[in-house]
Amino acid sequence: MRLDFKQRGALAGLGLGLLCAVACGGESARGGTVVIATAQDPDGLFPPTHEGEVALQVSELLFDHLAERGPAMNTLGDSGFEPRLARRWQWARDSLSLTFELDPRARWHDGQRVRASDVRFAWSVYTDPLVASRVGGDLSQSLDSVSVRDSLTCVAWFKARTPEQFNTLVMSLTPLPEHVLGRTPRDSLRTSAFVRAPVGNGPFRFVRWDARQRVEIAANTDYYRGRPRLDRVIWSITPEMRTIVQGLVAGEADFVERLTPVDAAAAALRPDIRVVQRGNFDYAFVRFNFFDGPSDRPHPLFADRALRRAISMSLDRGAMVHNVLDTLGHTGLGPFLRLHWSADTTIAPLPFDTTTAGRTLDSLGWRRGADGMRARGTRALAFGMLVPTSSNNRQKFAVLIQEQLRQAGIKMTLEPVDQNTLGDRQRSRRFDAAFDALVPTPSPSGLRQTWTSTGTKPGGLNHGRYVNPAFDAMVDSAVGAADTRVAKERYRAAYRIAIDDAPAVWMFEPVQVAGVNKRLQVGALRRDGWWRGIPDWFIAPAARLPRDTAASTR
Amino acid sequence: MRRLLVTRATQAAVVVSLVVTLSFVLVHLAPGDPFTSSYEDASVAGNVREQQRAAWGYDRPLPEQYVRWVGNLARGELGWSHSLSRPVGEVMRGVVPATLLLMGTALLLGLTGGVALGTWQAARHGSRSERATSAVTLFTLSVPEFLVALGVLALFSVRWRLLPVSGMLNPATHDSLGLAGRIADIARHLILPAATLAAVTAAAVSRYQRSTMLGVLPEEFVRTAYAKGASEGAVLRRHVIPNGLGPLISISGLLLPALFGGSVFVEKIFGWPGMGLTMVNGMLGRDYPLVLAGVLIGSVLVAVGGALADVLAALTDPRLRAGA
Repeated sequence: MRLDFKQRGALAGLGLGLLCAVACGGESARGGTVVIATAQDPDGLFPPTHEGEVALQVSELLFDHLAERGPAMNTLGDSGFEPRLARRWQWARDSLSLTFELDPRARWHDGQRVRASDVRFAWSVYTDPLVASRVGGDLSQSLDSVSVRDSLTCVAWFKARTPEQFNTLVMSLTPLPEHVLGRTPRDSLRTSAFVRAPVGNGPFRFVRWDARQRVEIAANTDYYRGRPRLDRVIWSITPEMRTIVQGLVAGEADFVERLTPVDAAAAALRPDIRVVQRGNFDYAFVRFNFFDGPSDRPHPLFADRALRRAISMSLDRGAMVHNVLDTLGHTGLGPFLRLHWSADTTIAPLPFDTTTAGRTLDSLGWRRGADGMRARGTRALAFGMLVPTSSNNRQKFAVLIQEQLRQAGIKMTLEPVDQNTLGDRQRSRRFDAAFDALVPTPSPSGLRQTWTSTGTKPGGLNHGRYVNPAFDAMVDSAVGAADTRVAKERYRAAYRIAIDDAPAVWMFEPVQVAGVNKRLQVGALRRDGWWRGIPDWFIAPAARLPRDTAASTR
Repeated sequence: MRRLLVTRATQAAVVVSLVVTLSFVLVHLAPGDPFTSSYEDASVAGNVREQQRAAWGYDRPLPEQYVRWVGNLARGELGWSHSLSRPVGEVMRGVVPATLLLMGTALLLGLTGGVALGTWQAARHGSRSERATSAVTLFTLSVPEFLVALGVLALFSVRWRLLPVSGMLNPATHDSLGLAGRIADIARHLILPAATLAAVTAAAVSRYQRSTMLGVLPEEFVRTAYAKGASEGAVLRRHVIPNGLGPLISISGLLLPALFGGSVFVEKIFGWPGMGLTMVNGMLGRDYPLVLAGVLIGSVLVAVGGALADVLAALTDPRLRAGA
């Protein structure tokens, strides 16, 4: 087909128009300021040492890892991991070393190139006892050293082959700028200015952190993977949850990461707010102490497996979850989360069966008295449970648990304590039962610290001192399995043992919902960290406010 | 007067020392330490907490920690805030001015409003308007401050959107404003928290002022002033109010600690980055250096406020001067 001059001109004009529209559209899609209302300040912005969730949110937008775990959250091998600072990697034949080739376009926010020596430097910082990094122990156990082959190539040398060695390395070790921190004494790193004004290499650069007021980061326009769509992200620090929600309603905040069931229901009715479900990484449970306080004598009640099971079967957990959390919670399954890749929701839990529970208690000698409460000889079937005053949900659950146990003839006394006391009492083993919650690692191998005998050692989190060698062996075997299918089978077997042993009553997994102003387009929130999608969030030009164009002075 | 000043300063120093020492013991006796809650996490190696405790000296005997803290204080070092990752002095430089701004404004509004209202009520003693305003002040005193705060927030910020919900400034636009704009931005954020605190202060002050005025009004010198043909306003301004200020000045000294306590709720609800809430958060996180610095500064401010009130009372009342 031949085109005449006019037709060719029209076609060219159309093409030019389309090109312009795309270009202009792309440009106009950039911009905007997102205000995230949050209750707490970060506790520092130094990746080796910060602990809090807000710190993690900010620092993961300032610093890139070598590679990033994919949405499937796999932690075995390198399957599903996406390149970041390392554009490719290569395993040695024996899997004991791993060569990373860094992206030559990657730059620190001060303009310096990201070098292989920065990875080596980071490794030396993380594993230095003077720094006391939260993950330094894991890295030291797994990694022998990091060497530099050339400015863009580094090699990680492992001590042994483990299925999660890649995950441990890339998710725990954040490369650090040697040219900025290299001269700072190691014991001063925690208190250096870098902790509150870091130089990163991620999609956003640090702007300011005014304690008790705000944290501000701005788009890194030179980001090697492409500029984020937003101009700025601001965490506005508002300590009161009611005020945070009112800020969202009044349009002062664009995003609130956590709404209570009541607030979520109210927000869903508003035309300008969207309620979005997001993943969650915690579960709550009533932990039993297997020993009589800090002593090595077995606990008069909870050393008995049949009694623990009877208590668990006396509780209608499903009804309680519905009562307290409505649709924003699931019944606890066991010592794992539904989001774990190893999770198996088909494992039958201990049922709610008051008849069987009653018979069991009778058979154990715990008979009902005239007042309906159970006793064995002169000893009443009674215990205390620590409940953190910081958790409204757990306080509500605790009252329901108390009532359901009373109906079963068991007297439970509530001991409200603040979060610090809860931790302190559990670590010092001064408790009968505790209504605790855990934030497990994305890797199910964290089970070792929380429920196996390893976790009973000082610093571990198995405060109830539950020990079952069969469970330990199955967890060890699962952690050592390189094949996902095999690992899943072994984790399933381990979970089965723990559920049957009832070292705790697995109460609930909250479903977290975020409140989002509809002017902000966030897409689907990542289950393992809603903030990881922020570089792709955007505000359409028509929905922008004066604050979207206000420039930061820094 | 000099003797009074020296006495009050000595008393203040003793009180501050006792308060700070007691606080040091109490915060350290509370379960946990700065690294307790943050390390209750499955991903943290067990020995990290112990390493940190040792690195910061929290594993040492309490008397040794106290001596070290006092030594650092003598050198002007307030320590390191673990929860905010910065020197405590830097934190205080941010929060003390914010607290003083809030409390100063609330105190000024509360005192002037309360004196005016109390005087007005006394002048109309027994009238329907006096009874109505008395009921209102009683109601204001009876309602917890946080309820007042939530109420004004719901009305002025959420329903009518006249004033900002929280904070001391607009986090997104403040820095792009000129000086006047920044001052206006802070003033807009100050209105609701200051008004909430001031309302309660004014209600309390007005009741004191009313009863004081009622005691002064029947005095002979007031009747003489009226007999000389002075107007009601002139009599109140020149004779009644100055003679009724003594008790009010003493009360003002007591208002300062009360405002400190009350401001914690108001700071929390309005997200005002002041000292009260910083200390509460510090206590919850067992951020010892932050809490102790807050106690120190707070007790100094309260002691100075009390001493200042005593001095002012003495200046306005020769009988007190003579007694001192």
